[in-house]
Amino acid sequence: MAAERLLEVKDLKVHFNTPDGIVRAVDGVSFTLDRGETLGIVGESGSGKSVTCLTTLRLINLDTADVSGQVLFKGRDLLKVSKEELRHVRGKELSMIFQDPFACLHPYYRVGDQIMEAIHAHDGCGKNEAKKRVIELLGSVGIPRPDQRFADYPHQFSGGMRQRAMIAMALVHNPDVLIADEPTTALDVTVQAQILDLIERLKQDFNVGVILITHDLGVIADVAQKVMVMYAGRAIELASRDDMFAQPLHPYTWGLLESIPHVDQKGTRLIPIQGSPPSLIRVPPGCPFHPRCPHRFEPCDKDVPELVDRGGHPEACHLSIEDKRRLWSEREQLRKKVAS
Amino acid sequence: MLSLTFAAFYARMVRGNLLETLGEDYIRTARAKGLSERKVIGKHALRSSLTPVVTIFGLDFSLLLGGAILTETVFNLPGIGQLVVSAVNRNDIPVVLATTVVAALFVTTISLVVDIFYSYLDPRVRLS
Ligand SMILES: Nc1ncnc2c1ncn2[C@@H]1O[C@H](COP(=O)(O)OP(=O)(O)OP(=O)(O)O)[C@@H](O)[C@H]1O
Ligand SMILES: [Mg+2]
Repeated sequence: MAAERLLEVKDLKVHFNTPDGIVRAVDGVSFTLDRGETLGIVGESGSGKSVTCLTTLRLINLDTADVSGQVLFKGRDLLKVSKEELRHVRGKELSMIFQDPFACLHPYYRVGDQIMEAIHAHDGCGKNEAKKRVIELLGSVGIPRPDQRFADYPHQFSGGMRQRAMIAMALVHNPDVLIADEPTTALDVTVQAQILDLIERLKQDFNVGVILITHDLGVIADVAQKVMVMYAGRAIELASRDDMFAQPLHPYTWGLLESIPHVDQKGTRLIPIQGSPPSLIRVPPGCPFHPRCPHRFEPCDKDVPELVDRGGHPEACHLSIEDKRRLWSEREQLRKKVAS
Repeated sequence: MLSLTFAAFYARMVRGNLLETLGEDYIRTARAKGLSERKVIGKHALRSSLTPVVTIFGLDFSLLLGGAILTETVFNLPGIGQLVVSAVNRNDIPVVLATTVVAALFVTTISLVVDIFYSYLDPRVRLS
C-alpha cells in the first residue's frame, strides 16, 4: 500500500538578488515526502539546505528573491496559494523547527504565551484550555515542572529547553509535515540524542512526514529512510538510506562518507574533501563539484550533469555506473589499507 | 509644542527599527506559526522596535527641558524656561534654586519612569 504523498517539490529555484550579483542558493531541487517517512538532507554549509526548506513555507523575502518551481503540499502549490490559505497551512499542517534556537523565540514574551499564540492562530479555544494544552505539551517534550516554566522568558531557558519549546510550538496542531533544520547542531551531545529521540517518537506516534537537515551522517543513518545530498544549491544524489550507505554513486557523497567516522568500521582513516564549496554567485561551469573532484574527466568542466535516475537512485555525475562501482570499491579498499 | 518636532523624529526611528526587526529570526517564527501579517508586525515587530525609542526618549527629555529655556525666551512664551531666565536676570536666587530643583526632579522622575517602563518592555532587564 502506497503511503500518502504529502509534499512534492519540483524543480525549485531560489535566486537572491544581491548587490554583488545573483546568489543561486537553490538551483533546481526536486524531492518528495510521504506520510511516515523521514527525508534527510545533507551537504556542506551554504549548500542551500535551509533556503530550500524556508521556501517550502514561503518564509523567504520574495522581494529580494526570484523563486520558481513548485511546492505541492497535498496537491496545492504553496508558492501560488493566497496569503490567507498559506497562513492556514503554516503551523497547522506544516511546521518548522529552525536552526538557531537562541534567536527564534521572541525575547520579550513569555515562552508559554508564545506557544499559546501558536494554538490561537488556528483555534479559537479559551485561554485556560490553551494554557492547559501548552503545559501538557511542554511536559511531553521533556521540560521539567512545565506549569512553572510556562511563565518564563526565553532567556531563562537553556538552549536545549528552547529547542524543546520550539518543538512543542511546532506540534500544537499535530502537523502532517515537520521540517527540522539542524535541530541539534547548537546543542550538546546528550541533549542532541534526546531531541532526535523525541522527533523519532513523534513520527511514529502521529505518522508525520519529517524533513531533517543535518551535518551528521550518523544521525541520517539512524533515523532517515531517504537521503538527499545537496551541493551548491543542487540535489546531486537522492537515494534510500540503505542504498546511500551501501552503494553511494556521487564522488561528493563519497567524500562526505569518508570524512566522518564510520559506525561499523572502527579504525578507518578520515579523509577530508579537498578545497571548499564554490561561491553561489559564480558557480563553476559544468559540474559544480568538478574543481574538487579527484575523478573528473573531459566533460566535467563543460557540461552540467543531469540528475539521472539509476534504478530509483538518481544522481548527477558524468561517470558511468561501472566506473562508479569500481572507483568506490577502490576507495574503500584504500581506506582500509591506510587504516591498518 | 517642542515635542512635535521630536515626534517626527521618533516616527522615523520606529520605522527604521521596524524594518530591521522584520529580518529577525523570531519574526520568521511568528510567521511560521500562521499568524496574520497584522499580528506579526503590530505585535511582534513593533514591541522590539519601541524599546530603543523609550531609552532615547529618556535622554531627549532633559534636552527638551534645556531647549525650553532657549525657545521660550526667544519666542517670549511663558513657561519654566522663561521663568528661570528672568529670575537669573533679576538676581532672584530663591526662584532660580526652586526652578532648578523642580527641573532636576522632573528629569530624574522621567528617567525613573523610563527605566520602569523599559523593564516592563524588556524582561531581560527586569531580572538582572
Ligand atoms: N536572504 C538572502 N539573501 C542573499 N543570500 C542568501 C539569503 N539567504 C541565504 N543566502 C545564501 O544562500 C546560500 C545557501 O544558504 P543556506 O542557509 O540555505 O545554507 P545551508 O545549506 O542551510 O547552510 P548551513 O549548513 O550553514 O545552515 C548561502 O550562500 C547564503 O549566503
Ligand atoms: Mg542552514
